[in-house]
Amino acid sequence: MALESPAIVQSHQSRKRAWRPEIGAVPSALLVLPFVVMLAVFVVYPFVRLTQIALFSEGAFDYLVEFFSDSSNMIVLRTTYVISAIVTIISIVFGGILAWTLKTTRRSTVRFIILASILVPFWMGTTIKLYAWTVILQTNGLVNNFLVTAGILEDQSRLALLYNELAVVIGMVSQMLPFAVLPLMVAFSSIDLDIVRAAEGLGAARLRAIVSIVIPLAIPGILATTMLVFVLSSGFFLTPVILGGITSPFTASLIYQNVFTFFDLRAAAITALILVVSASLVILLAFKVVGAERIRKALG
Amino acid sequence: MSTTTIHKGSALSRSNLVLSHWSVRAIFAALLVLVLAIAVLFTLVPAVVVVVLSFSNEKLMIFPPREWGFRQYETLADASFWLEAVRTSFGLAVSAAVMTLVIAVPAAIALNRGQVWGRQIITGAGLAPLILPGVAYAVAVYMVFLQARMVGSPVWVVLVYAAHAFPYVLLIVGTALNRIPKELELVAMTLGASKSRATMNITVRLLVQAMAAAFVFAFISSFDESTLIVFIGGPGLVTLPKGIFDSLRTGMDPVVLAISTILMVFTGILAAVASYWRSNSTR
Repeated sequence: MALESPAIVQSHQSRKRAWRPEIGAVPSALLVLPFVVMLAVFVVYPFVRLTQIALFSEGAFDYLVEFFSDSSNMIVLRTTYVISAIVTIISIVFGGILAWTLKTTRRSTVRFIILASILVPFWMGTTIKLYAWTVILQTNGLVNNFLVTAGILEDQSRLALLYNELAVVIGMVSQMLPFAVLPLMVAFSSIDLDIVRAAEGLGAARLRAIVSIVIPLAIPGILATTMLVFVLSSGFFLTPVILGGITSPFTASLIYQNVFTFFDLRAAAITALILVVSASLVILLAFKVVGAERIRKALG
Repeated sequence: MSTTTIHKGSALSRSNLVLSHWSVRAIFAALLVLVLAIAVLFTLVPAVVVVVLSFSNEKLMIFPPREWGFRQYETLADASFWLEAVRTSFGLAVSAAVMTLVIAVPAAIALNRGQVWGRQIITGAGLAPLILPGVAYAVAVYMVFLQARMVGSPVWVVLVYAAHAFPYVLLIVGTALNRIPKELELVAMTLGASKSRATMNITVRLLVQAMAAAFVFAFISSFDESTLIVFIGGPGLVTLPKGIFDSLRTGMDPVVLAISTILMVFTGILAAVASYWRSNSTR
């Protein structure tokens, strides 16, 4: 009897402590620890190191002045942001129309085509996709051969479709469009179609109903998606290098050249840091405007 | 006289209205078809090109092929360079996906159910690899690899790929956790289970499908990873995307198209299964 009672008391206490659905502070810390260590080493520290090389290494200030007074660097940055903005606008507009059509259409063929155009690109590797675009756009490629065979183009005057901004935009849109559709579908999913029908019943044209009902309701999701697509577009690497060429005026190509041709790591670090800072500003802005939850939803 | 003109006028304007209504609809329908066509062009044409050209019978990549057939699929077994690249990719991707689950699932559970200091910051840092510009992240990681002299080390590449796939676990498993009532564990405990047993047998078991989905997404993203590897893989570690990137300038072996076609089918099946698991776990 006397031996049993402390055990009962003890089990009683431990039960009492455990009767919560939450995990205690110590076990939680242990569960999170490996994750936090990994993040510290492979996510946080790389950016610390990047900042250190770009801003705090020897002679960094003079180098920064030199970097920013080089007009070709400025052209590269401007081109990157302009192209990213164009890609974002095209992806959001087309993606929005695809997502809305998928929600409203009753035709199974249309649904099938849209679903295929969202899903199939996810099954393909990025590099092989870019290879396909090279085959399509090159001087002796699909488009040019078609135009020559059809008699629209002379054999000597084949179009230079590859290694320019257009090729980069095409390549980037083909990757960002499926990516943009999914969060837009989520943004549209909570909209009750009866509201649109009511607006039309009250005399609004279809376009007016969409502009003044659907878009305002979906605007947080649209903004979150826009922000994501823009930030990811600014970080594209292989597409500008392969479809635009190594010497094309994109940050990706600039970084590639600085790392692999000139071995100028500091210039690469500065360029990368500018991308990180601009991306962080865009994300912060989105946080202020639509909130963290929307951004999390837009990620999938 | 005047009444008839009014009558005529109103009839005319009404028919005009009907006409304009119809033409607006026609323009809308035509626009929709155009947009769909462009979207399909952008997204599906590359896939069609790869699949169709994989049936070229040429030894070199010649477009358009003069002869069609199964040559690329027949010579697949001899394409040791590419098979080795696929093996490397597969090994790295499986290791990274396993590591992601082992490290991030306990963290996701603790972040969701536990008392963790700095929950928001940890989650934000965990999602960062998915949100930040890819090339900037690659350069940042490359600097660390240079410092540690680990460029080309498969183990370090796996570690980075694992961290790179954390967002999938946080998003998929995190969402699934939100749907599992916390009270279920309490019920198990009233029936005599210990806290840890209740967690393992209730919550973790209910998470199995979400974990499987996260595993597949982590695997696919690592298998297809093509930006980081160009920097941190060095010249020695050739994955399939790295091999294709390298060969793009030297002219490509059409066997790659056959490999890509086969992988596309595999990835499609995997992704379909994973999406099914994911929707099951978050319903």
